[in-house]
Amino acid sequence: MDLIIEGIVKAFLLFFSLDSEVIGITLFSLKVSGIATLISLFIGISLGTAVALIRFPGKKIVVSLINTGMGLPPVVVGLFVTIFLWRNGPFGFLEILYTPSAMIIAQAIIATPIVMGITLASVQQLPGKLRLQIIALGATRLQMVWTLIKEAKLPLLAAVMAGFGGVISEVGASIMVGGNIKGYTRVLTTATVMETSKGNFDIAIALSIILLVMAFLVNLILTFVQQRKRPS
Amino acid sequence: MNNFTSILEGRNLKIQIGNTVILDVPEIRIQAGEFLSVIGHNGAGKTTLLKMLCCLMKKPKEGEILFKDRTIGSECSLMEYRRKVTMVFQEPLLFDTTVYNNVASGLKFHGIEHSDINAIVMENLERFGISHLKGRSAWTLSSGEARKTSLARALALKPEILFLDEPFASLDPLAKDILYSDLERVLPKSGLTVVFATHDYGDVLRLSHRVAVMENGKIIQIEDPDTVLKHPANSFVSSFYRLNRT
Repeated sequence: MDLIIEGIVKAFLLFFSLDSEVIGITLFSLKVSGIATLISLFIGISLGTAVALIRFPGKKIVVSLINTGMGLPPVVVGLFVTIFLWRNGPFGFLEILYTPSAMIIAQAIIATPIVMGITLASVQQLPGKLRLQIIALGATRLQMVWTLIKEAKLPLLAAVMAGFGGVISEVGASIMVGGNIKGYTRVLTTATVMETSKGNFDIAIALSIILLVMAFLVNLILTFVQQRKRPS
Repeated sequence: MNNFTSILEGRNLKIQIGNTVILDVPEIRIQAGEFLSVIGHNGAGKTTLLKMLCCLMKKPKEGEILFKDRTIGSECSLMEYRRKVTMVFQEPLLFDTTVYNNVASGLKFHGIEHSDINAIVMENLERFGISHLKGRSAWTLSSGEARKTSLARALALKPEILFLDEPFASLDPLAKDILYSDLERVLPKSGLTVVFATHDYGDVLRLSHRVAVMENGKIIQIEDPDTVLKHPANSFVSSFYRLNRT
């Protein structure tokens, strides 16, 4: 018990002393997960909306695959991204394994099915006649799709939260494709794993608390945006 | 109104799923400036007919629709037609934005210059007496206000044909009466053609030039209201009238 209390105290001291390494890791984590989330939003919202609106044979199978992808294990993603980016792999010529780019790719792959699945559900839950109403107002197909996405914007914020939450907290893929290189590819989760394995629980607890606070703050902001226009 | 040049004409409109006939209308012609009411019980095929005439359904396997004697889909493009007509549904189906932006939405779809949109939106908000609501979120409107916003949004487009699919259903009698009065005041000045589907015959009578009575996907009588009233085509029409007048 003393170990935990001591760890928490040291964690707060480390946190409030603005340790440059901790701040660097925190900002780098935000950058990698932020870019990965943006990429996943672009791909996930586009494909999720397309799957929601287009009728095609085997749609149920595709939706099932997307829903399965929402729980994609990060280590599996890490494994395949590593294989693909390995020196002899199909994309080995890019030479980006153990770089932030590889981490962004892996995290984007993890977040995309999450965003896609929530987008799909959000667009499908809109009233069926809304689509007809938009067409009846003279919208082109592109205008109709854009209007539907705007109408689903509040549930879509949940996609942003889930996507970001999924990648900021994952460790398997980041450690596999990033390598946890100090000052280069080390993020909060990989640093926490390393410090724990070294027995530095105070630093590990500090990093965990920063991770939790950061995830909370991002979700708090998004929740405020999501809830501000709800009628009383 | 029997010898007229039609603005809209449907020929051999038919939808059949399995053995069930959803719609079977050999011919329907609508005159420019006419107010045609389509009446019938729930499930009679009114909404399907309107959606078909508004070209909101997949092209029928059988039949064609002509707008000003031009076949839609060949002589007249679908987009050109859709930008000359509009439809108001049973639910207001407003967008998650302000009343002003809702009324402006269709104009933006049509590519109307931004500088012209304000005047058109304000004109139509004032038309329905809801200009004071322009900054309000659509979510905070009462049912009657939402219906007025929906009508203002449709009329802002200056359509040549307005399809109304039971737009006042589920409103209380007072709100309904106010909206009918609004329509009675607004429509004659606009000169537009209206196709109005309802199962509430009494209220729409005063606006109608002709009434089409539907049953099981078919139009069983289409004449002026007095003729339909005095000489109903069959017992269904007379019973429908009687039910709605009591």
